[in-house]
Amino acid sequence: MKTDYNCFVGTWPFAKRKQIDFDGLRSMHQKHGIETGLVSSLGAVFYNDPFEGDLELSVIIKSSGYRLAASINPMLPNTMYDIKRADESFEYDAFRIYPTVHGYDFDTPEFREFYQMASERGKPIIVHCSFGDYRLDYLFKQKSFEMASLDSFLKRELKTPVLLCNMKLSELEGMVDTLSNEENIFIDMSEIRHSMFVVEDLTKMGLIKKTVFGSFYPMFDFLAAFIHFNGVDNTLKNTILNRKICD
Amino acid sequence: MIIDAHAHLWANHYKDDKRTILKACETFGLSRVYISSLASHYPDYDEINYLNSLTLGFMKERPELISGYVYVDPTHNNKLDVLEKGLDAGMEGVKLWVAAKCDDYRIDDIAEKCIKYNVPILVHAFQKATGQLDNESTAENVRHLALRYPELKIIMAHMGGNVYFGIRCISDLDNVYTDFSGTMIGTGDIDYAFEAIGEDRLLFGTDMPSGGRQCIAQVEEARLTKDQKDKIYYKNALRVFGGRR
Repeated sequence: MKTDYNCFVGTWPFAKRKQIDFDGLRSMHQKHGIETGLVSSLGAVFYNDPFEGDLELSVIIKSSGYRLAASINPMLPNTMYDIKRADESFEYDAFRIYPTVHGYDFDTPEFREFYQMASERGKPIIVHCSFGDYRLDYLFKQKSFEMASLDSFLKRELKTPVLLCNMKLSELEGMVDTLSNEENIFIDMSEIRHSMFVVEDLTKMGLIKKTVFGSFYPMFDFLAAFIHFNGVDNTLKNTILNRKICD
Repeated sequence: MIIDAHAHLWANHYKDDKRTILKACETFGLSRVYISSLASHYPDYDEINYLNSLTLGFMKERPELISGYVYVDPTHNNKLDVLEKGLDAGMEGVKLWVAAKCDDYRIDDIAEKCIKYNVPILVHAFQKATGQLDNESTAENVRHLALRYPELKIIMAHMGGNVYFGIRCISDLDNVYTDFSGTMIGTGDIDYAFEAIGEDRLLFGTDMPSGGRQCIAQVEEARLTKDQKDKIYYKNALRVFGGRR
């Protein structure tokens, strides 16, 4: 199924965004032939208790064919409490984490502990390497992490797939060996803005086989990522759109 | 028709940049691209000459596609000679980057020349949460310049970086246009700008070779009529550059 791995429903606290409800998201997907999404709650990113956002979203998308990625902030005490509530309350296919919003890196003990718990459940982890344009933050400022910390995490034996969302082209270039060598790592195209010909660039870097589609909609214009398929061979386009990060 | 009012050759990879720009013209149907050439933040006299020669060279190679801005450093003593030489050679506007803020008094004689020749100044303006350069203009600096010279045509690049800061600074200034180059792709940014300043002062610009494809996506996704999109894609640019073309 053609899938958007990087999409959200809910309220973006810093600006009016259009079509932020689930119907708006689905309608945008349908317009461009996307059949489903691994969707998360924007509320869960910013709520004191992420579970409240996940629970809201699980009701909204029930029976829609869309799948939920549960948002986790490993810096909150007793992360297992959140995971258990998710296990008991709704179906979810992945965990989604936001280190630049919640302020940690991949050497942080709390993250390592969370990773162990996620691995035991066999769920993929979606890592947002940024969350919006850091140059434009003024009401809230993201805390960037050292790419070396991510690189070192990825070089350890990965027990569950990791999808890296919102990575810039220069960041991908800096980690190309790690990304290429590990079977369980995937990337999305949502943040590769500093290139006119993204699919060509990823192909040259050998990363196209790792690429899934993610739009970061509704924070970014949906077409800003999707337009990179214009002029791309249909077989390659469909391969990317249909690629799964796990069974 | 699409006119790109904001693109560059970077001195350290200008040959690749030319290829990217020409390929983009072919792929996306860009009918004209206005370029300037850039390198260091504080160029010396020789560097300015070299950069303008790169722009002129590309204009001569592909006159049917490429137009140029003459790049001027306001701190240089020969800035007016550089400006006049560039315009005499067929360049159609002036580019200011980060050597001095655009409301610096050393811009005044440049502004007066631009009014005389009826050419626009493309001002780099970017309000950054982090990494702001010492002499990097923001939309507030653009506002000061525009109020000082109401007859001067100014293109504020990148919507001032942050559309929410940038647009409020130019909302009441009819002599200021803005482009949305610079890889800001927030959903609804164009709609926000359109609601504040209308469609007559928005210009299509990409900032190629650093991205740009998403600028087409932004226009297509905005809640605009075909006529409004046409103004943004090319009609406004024809008006801005009308003094020389």
